Amino acid sequence: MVNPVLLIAVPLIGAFLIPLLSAVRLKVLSRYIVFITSSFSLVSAILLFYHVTYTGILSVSIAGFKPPFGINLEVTLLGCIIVVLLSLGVLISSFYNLFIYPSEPEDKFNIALILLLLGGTGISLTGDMFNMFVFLEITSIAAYILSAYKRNGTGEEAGLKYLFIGSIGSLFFLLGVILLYTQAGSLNIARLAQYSASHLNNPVILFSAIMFIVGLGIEAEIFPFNWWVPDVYQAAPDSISSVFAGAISKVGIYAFIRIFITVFNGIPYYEALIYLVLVGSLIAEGAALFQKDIKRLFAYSSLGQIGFIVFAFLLKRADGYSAGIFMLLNHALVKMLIFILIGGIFVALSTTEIEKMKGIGRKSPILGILFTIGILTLAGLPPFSGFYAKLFLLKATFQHNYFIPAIIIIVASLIEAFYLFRLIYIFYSPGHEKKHSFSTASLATGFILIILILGMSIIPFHIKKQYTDKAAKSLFMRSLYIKEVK
Amino acid sequence: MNFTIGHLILVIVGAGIITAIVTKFNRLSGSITALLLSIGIAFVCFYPAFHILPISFTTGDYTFIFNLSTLSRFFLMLFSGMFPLVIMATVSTKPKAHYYFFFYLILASVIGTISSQDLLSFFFFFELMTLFSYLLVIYKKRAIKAGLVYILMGIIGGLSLLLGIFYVFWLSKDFRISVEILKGSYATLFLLSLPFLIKMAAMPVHIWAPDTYKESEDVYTAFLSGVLSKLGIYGLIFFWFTWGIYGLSAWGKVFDVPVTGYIIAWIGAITAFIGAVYALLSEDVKKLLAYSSISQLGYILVGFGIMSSLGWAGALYHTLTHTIFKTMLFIVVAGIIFRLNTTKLSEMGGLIKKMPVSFLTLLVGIIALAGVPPTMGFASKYLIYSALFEKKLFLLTAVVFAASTAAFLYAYRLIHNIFLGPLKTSLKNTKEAPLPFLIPSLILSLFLVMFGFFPGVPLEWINNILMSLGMKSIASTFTTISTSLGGFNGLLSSSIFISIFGIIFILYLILFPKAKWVNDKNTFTAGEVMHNTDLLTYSSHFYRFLEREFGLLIKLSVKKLYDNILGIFEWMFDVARKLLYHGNVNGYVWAIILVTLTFVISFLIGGLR
Repeated sequence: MVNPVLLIAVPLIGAFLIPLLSAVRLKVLSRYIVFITSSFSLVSAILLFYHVTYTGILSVSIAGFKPPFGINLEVTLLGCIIVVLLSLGVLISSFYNLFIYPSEPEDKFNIALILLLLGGTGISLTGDMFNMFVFLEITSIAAYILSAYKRNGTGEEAGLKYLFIGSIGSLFFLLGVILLYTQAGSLNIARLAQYSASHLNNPVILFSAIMFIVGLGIEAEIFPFNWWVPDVYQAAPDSISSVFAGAISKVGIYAFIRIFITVFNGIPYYEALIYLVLVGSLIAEGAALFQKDIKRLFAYSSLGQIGFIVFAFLLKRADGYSAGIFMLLNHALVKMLIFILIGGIFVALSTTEIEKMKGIGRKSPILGILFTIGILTLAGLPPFSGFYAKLFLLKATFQHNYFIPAIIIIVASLIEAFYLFRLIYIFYSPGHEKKHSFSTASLATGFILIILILGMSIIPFHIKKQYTDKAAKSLFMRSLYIKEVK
Repeated sequence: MNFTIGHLILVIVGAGIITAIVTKFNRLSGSITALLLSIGIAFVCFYPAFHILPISFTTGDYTFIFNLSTLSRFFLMLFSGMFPLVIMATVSTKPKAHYYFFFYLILASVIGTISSQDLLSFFFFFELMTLFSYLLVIYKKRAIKAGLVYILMGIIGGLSLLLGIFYVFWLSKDFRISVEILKGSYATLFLLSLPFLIKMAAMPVHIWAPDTYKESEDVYTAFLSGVLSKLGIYGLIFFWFTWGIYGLSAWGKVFDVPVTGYIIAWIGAITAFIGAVYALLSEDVKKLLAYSSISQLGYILVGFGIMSSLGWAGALYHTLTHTIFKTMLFIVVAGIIFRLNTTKLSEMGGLIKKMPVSFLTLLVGIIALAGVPPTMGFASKYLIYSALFEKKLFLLTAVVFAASTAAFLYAYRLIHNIFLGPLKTSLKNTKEAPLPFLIPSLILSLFLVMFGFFPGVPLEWINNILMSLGMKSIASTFTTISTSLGGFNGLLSSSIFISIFGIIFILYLILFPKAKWVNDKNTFTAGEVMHNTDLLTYSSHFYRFLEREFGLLIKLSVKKLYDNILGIFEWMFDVARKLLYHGNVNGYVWAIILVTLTFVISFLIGGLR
C-alpha cells in the first residue's frame, strides 16, 4: 500500500524542486518533474483504490494526533477515483506540453500545474473541513495563474474574472466553515456529519449549508454559479482547458457531494436544487448551440454534463450515485480527449473558430476519427460509453420516480446532438484544400484516451459493478464514513 | 448445424473487417470478397439445415434476450437476401474500405434489432443501425448536409424510443417485453411508434428522406430505401402486436378499426398521396424514386393501420414487394447514373436502344410499382384494397386510389424521360450499364414476375407470421389468393394479361403488315429538317399542368414549420444565454448575492414554518 500522505507530499516536493533545478541549470530535468509526479500519483492512486476496495475507508492521522485534535486523511473509493482522474489529466497535459512546446512552458506554468494536482488531491483525500478550504485555495490560485497564462488579453480578462468570482466562492466556503465550527465545535468532516445528522433544524446549520451551496457551487461549476466557466475554458491554454474540464471540475463536484451527501444529508429543498441544476443544464446546452468558438462550445457542453452529474448525486440513491460516478468518469475522459484534440487543431490552423475548421476531418482522417468518436461518446450514442452513462442515469431517475427530470435529460441530449453533429458536419464538409500537419503529440495523447474510452465502452457493466457501484455504496453508507473517526 | 444469433452477428462483423482489410489493398478484390462473403451470409440465413438458436445473457440487473420469431425470420430473409444483391451492384463502383465495413456493420445491427426480444437491446441495435447508416450516408461529400438531417431525425427517433422504453420500464420494472406494456398510455404508444414512422419517412416526419436518398451513394440508396426503411414496419408490428390489437381496441373504434390504427392509416394514406404528387413533380431521378419510396411506404402504413389480418397481410406483402422493386429500381438507376454521371431527368432521354436490359428491368419495376399483373405488385395492392373494402373505409380508399393514379403518372414519367423519345446528342456514345448492375436487377425482376404468377408463395410465409401473431390466415394456394370479398388467380390473370398483349401484337403484325420503322425524329418534326434534336425531348417540368393544380400543396412545407419551431426555441435559448452568460463580472457578483439572498429567504420561510 502507498501511504496516502505521499500523494500530497510528492507533488509538494516536486513543486519545490522545479525552481531549484532551474536555479542549478538543470532546467531540462525540471520539465519532466510534472510528468514524473503525476505518473507517481496516478499509479499510487490506482493502488490505493484497490487497497481501499478491500479494507474499506482508510483513515490516516497526520503527525500522530487523533482526529478531533489532529488533521486526518480519509481515503474513500470516490476520492481515489477523483485522484486517478486528476493525475491522469495532469499527466496527459504534461505529456502533451512536453511535445507541443519544446522550449516552453516556463517554470511558473509547471509549478502551477503541479500545485493544481496537489490541491485537487488534497481536496479529494482530506477528512478535515478547514484543510479542504486550504486545498481549495491552493487549487484555485493555481487555476487562476494557469487560466491567465496566455498573455493575449482574453487570457488576462478570463483570469481576472475567475479570480473575482473564485475568491467570492472561497469566502462563502470559509463563512460556511466558520458557521459550522461555531455550532459543532469541530472541523472534522466525520464529526460534522455526525453532528448535523441530529441538528438539521438548527437555522445556523441551514445557513451554513447555503454558504456551502454558493461557495462550492462556484468551484464545482454548478448552475447558477457557473458564469465564469466559458471564458476561462476558452482563454486557458488547450492542455489546461483539458485538465479544467476533465479533472478540476470533477474535484469541485467531489467537494460538493462530499459535503452535501456526507455532512448535510437531508437538508430541505433537495427538489428545488434538482430542478435548478437541470434547468441550468438545459440552458447551458442551449447556449452551446450559438457558439462560434469550439472551446467555448465545449465549455457550455461541460456545464450541461456537470448538471446531469450533480443531478445524479442529488438522487439520494446508491444507483444514482453509481450512475453519477460512471458519468463523471466518462465525461472526464471525453473532455480531456476533446480539448487535447482541439489543441492539435489549434497548432495546425491557429484558430479555434468553428467555421474555419471546414473539411479538416477529411484532410486528417486520424484526427477526424478520434474527434468523431469523442463526439459520439459525448452525444451518448451506442456502442460508446456515453450511452451507458445515460442509460444508468435514466434508469436511476425512473427508479426514483422522477419523470420530468428524465424528460429534461432527454431534451438536453437532443440539443446536445444538434450542436455535436453540426460539428461533424463542419469537419467533413468540403473546404480547406491545403493539407495541414496536425501535431502528432495531440494525436498520440488522443490515442491513449481513446483506448480508455473504448475500454469503458466494451466493459461498461464490469466497470459499473466493480468500481462505480462500490464507490457509490461507500458514499451512500454515511455511517461507514462517520464510524472511521469515532 | 447449430449456432446462435451472437455467432451470426460476430461472423458478419468479422466479414466486414476482412472485406475492409482486403479492400484497403485492392479495391476490386475487396469488392469480390464482399460479394462472396455476403452470399455466404445469405446462404447461412436461408439454408434450412442451419438452425439459428436463441441466446440470452445477464449482466447485473440487465438481461438481454435474442430470439428469432416467425416475424423476425421473415425480415431476416428479406435483409440477408437483399444484401448480396446490393453488394453485387457496388462491384463496379469500387468503393473504399470503410464503405464495406459500415455496410456489414449495418447488416449486423439490423439482425441484432430484429432478433432482440428485450427493449434495451432493441434500442441498442436500432441506434447502432442509425449511426452506421449515417456514417455510410456521409461517405459521399455531397451528402454531408443531408446526413445531418438524417442523423438528427434518427436521434429524435432514438430518444423518443428511449423515453418510451423507460416509461415501460417504469411501469413494469423490467426491460423484458411483457404484458405490462398494456398498462401504457397514448404517450407510450406515441413514443414507441415515432422512431419507426421516422424510419419509414411517414409524412410529417419524412423531411430527412428526399435529400438523403438523393445525395447518398447511389447503390447504398437502394439498400437504404429498399431495405432499411422496412425496419420501420418491423418495429411497428413488434411493439403494436405486444400491445395486442384488443388492448388497442379498448381505446375506441372507428369503422370497426381501433382508433390509433385509424390514425396511422390516415397518416399512411396522406403520405402515399402527397409523396406521389411530389414524386411526379420531381426533376431529379433519385428524388423521384425517393418520393416514390415515401409514397409506397404509405401504403404499408395503410395496411398496417387497418389492424385486420387482411390489412397486416397486405402490409407485409407490400413490404416484400416494395423491397424487391424499389431495391431494383434504385440499382437500375444507379447503373444509369454510373454511365451518365447525372441525376437530372432533363439530361436523359431516348436511352432505350442504348440500354435495353436496363429498360426491360425498369419496365418490370414500374409495372410492379403500379400494381398491375403479371407482377406481384398486383397481389399486394389487391390485399390492401380488400382490407379497405372489408372495413368499408371508402374515404380512405379514395385517397389511396388517388395516390395509385399519381403513381401511374410518375412511373410513366420515369420510363419516358429516361428511355423514350429521341436520343439526346450528348448521349450518343452511352453504353449499357455494367453487368454488376444488371445481374441483380434481372434476378429481382425475375422474382417480381414469378411471384406475380404464383402470388400464394409469399403469402404462405405471411400466413405463418399472421398465425404466430394469433391472427386469421388468408386462404391461398400457390396461384390463388381468396379473401372474404373474392379472390384472384395469379397464374390465370397474369397469363391473360400477357396473352392480351401477345394477341394485340399479333393482330398488329397481321393488320399492318407494311408497317416499318421510321426515324423517331420524323414523328416530331413532320418531315421538316431539324438540327437541334435535343429540343424534341420533353422531360423537364413534365407535368406542368399538374404543377399548376397542386401549386398550393407544393408551397406548403413541413420543413419551414420545423424551422420556425426551432427558431422559437433558439430565440428562447438565446435570450436565456444573454441574460445569464453576459460576461460582466459586476453582474455576476450581484447575481451571486441575489441568489444567496433568495436561498436564505426561502430557507428562513421554510425554517419558521
